[in-house]
Amino acid sequence: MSTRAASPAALFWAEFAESKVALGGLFVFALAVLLALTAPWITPQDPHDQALLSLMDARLPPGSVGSGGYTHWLGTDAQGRDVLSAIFWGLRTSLFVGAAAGVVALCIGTTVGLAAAFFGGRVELALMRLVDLQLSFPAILLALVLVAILGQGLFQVVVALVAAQYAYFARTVHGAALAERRKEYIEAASGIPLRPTRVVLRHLLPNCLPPLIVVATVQVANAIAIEATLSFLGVGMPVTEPSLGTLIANGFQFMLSGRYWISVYPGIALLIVIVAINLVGDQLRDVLNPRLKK
Amino acid sequence: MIAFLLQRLAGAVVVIFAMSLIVFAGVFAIGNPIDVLINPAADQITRAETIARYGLDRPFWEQYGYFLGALIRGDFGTSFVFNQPALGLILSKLPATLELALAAMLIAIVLGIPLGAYAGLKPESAISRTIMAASVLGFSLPTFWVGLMLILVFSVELGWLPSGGRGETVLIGGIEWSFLTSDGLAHLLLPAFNLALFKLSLIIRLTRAGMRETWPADFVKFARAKGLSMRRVVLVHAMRNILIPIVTVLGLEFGSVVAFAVVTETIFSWPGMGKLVIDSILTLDRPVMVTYLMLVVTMFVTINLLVDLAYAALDPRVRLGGQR
Amino acid sequence: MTALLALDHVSMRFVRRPSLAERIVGALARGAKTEIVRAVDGVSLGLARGEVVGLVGESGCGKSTLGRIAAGLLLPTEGRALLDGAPVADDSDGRAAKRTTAVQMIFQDPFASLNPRMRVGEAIAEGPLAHGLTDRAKARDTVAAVMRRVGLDPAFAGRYPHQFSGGQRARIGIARALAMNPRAIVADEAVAALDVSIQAQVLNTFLDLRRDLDLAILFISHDLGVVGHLADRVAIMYLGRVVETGPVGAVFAEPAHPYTRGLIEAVPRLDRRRASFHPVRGEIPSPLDPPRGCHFHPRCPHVMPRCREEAPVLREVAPGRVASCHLHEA
Repeated sequence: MSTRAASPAALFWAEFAESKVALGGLFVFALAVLLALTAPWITPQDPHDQALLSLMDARLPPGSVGSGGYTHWLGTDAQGRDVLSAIFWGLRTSLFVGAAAGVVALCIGTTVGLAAAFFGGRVELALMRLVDLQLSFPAILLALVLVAILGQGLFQVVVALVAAQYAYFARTVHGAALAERRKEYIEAASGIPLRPTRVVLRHLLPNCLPPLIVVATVQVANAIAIEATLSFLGVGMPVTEPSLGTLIANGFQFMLSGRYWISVYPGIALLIVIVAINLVGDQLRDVLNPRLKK
Repeated sequence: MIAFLLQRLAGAVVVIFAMSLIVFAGVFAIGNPIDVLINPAADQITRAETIARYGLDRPFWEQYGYFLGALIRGDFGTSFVFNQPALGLILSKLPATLELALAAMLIAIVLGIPLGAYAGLKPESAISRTIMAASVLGFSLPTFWVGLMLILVFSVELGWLPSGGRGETVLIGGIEWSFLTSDGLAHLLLPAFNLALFKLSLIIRLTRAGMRETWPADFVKFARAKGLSMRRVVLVHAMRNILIPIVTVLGLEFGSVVAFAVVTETIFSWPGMGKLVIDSILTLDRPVMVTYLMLVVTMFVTINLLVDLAYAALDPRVRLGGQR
Repeated sequence: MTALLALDHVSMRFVRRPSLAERIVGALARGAKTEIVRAVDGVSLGLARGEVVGLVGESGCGKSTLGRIAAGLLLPTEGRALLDGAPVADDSDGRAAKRTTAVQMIFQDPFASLNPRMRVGEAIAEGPLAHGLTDRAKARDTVAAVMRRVGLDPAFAGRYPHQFSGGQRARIGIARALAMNPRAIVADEAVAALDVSIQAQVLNTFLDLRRDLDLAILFISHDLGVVGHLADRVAIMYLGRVVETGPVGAVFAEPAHPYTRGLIEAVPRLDRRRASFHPVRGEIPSPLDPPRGCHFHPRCPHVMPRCREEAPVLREVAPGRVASCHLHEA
């Protein structure tokens, strides 16, 4: 028996990898991230560059060869933009918005939840009242109101998503921290004494991580979905910086006339990303939920 | 119990009041409605007159005070765009939204409970796995995306159902209803299903979880041991215990159905409150936005209050322990 | 004999005030009152260098609260806990802010008192590192030294708590406390969760520590047998008050308070196997609403009318021994 134990991370990975579906989801998600990151170099056309667009190429069906001399595997949109290129670039925007909103909401929500649980009393009452109040409204509605107030744009959308989503993190962390803070190891750490910030960050937080990881995964998927919805409704990302939702909205009006590809292919990309993240999240939930462990 | 009631009621009033301030402050900060209200070519005098007429030249607090006073009198202001009272405008769209929301809830219940119960009783079967996989999709797919696919498949490709509008309506009690005509029903089906999908997944999961928890319970085992028919055990003994959480969640979720109707109504051009509010956001029609938000906030707070009270009435543990 | 660790007229009240809504209803109907629990009520106790004091009582008597006050984890509502004359904790916004590292606490549950996500070596080194008692370079040696002292193999420093047995974890808890070079230790039911054979081993470790390090130990337990094995002096607590203190041998041989006698007679012993079994009769009363007069009178076999009216005070019953009972005032 080795004296240095297998780290929890290694055990965790072994358990996670038991599900082939979840591994598949992780692989697809990683691929999507890779495509998004390398979009400027692998796409045949820069969809933001108006000079490259030609109205002659507008609404070409998938597989056509346009004036650029290359094949539009997924067709072109109303301005003659290559749909495949637009998808990779849109993926970039969508994933960035989802990740940025997820990370910032995670940080703010975790701080709020931990602060409430650690300080207790009036601080806890005030913070958690606000969180509960917010959670009684659907995130999409809050985000909608916020973008209506803040206006369109990447920054505004991220702010709206963070404001709408931090509460989920706060409640999750608060719940976990409430259960943990009653345990003697927290009292033991405070009693050494260690500084409150150290007790919270080194003792309380690591033990609240499992539910937090699950919520974080799901919330990134939700952020991407909500952003797409806002963009589809015309109040999210501007046309100059289209996300997958914007692309779908742009093609919607052509769908009834049978030119499905402008909307549908970005839609499928969105679907794949969201489902992949959710598959990963589902397996994380199973692995990290102590109730399901034998 | 009375203490509990008072506490919740006071809480609800505070929330509505606080939200009125937040909503007004938020909406106040949006753009300059003057640009929408008048022709850019209008002269300075017309401009000033319009500003004065809508009270847009007053400081924020004065506008809020005026707004609050008017609110208490039931006056929510006049739509900049439609030039008619905002409240009346929204209420005239309310029946359409309610019809859609109720139809969606009905679909979710009628499909969700049997599917969930089946998946809970036979968790290993292929059908159950399919049901659960579909429910994961129902949770994670954005509503607008599903709506799009529904239109593509059923309207564009198959041509079975119309893609938008309310269809033919019947006037009953001064309100138009779609579900009473076959044309209206056809128009209602796709959007209602679209809106139902999320709740459907939720109900499937809740029913399945409830069934799996209840089935091994002693009282169900006892009922089965008594030789009661499977049908009776499921419907009477197990279901009764599963229904309480489901009813609660449904109550809580009704508000979110109305909220999500914003998306569905936009996709299917359903002339309800949701479509109106999206239009008002795009046209900076402040009074309509504020009125809609206040109505929705009031609705959510009322629903939460009712669910809290219903819970307290049903469950003595909450009734006694709820005061902490 | 001057005390190293002293509790000076310490009281701890926990208050629950009714909410605003409850008060409104209360005003209309019966009247909701503020509920006060006196967990600890005017206790004074001192420990000298190298002295082990056993604090004994039934669960709910306030002994754990008293221990946490002594260790600086809780701030008493009244009175002070002092180490060498200096308070062990200050008031920081109504919470205890511990000021000294020289009093350390060892906890009851060897499973819950260790952070499950921290290697035990890190857990032991954390305190000394945070307070500059050691540095990164020497931390490994510090950890190895304390682990060896409590009978653990230093090679296990890289393991996680769940890889140890209950007895080993109890030792890790002790090692974590020792790493701070304490002068006094508060052990709250430190062996209660262990099997009897393991208990004896861990108790021997405590005896070694006292011998080698001259520590003052406040050993909290409900188990008179364990306390008799380890302690020099014993303090018996009932419903927030100390009712008797004295040297272990003398108190066990001739208890001065009826409650102490009841506790001692409840201990099963080989030489009294056939004797009738007399546990203290009745239940411990609610600390929310303690009995008038002597708190013990509803359960006391020697109850007198005076006991129901007047609370007895602690008075010397023999050299070095005090007890609070009207029987000794005749």
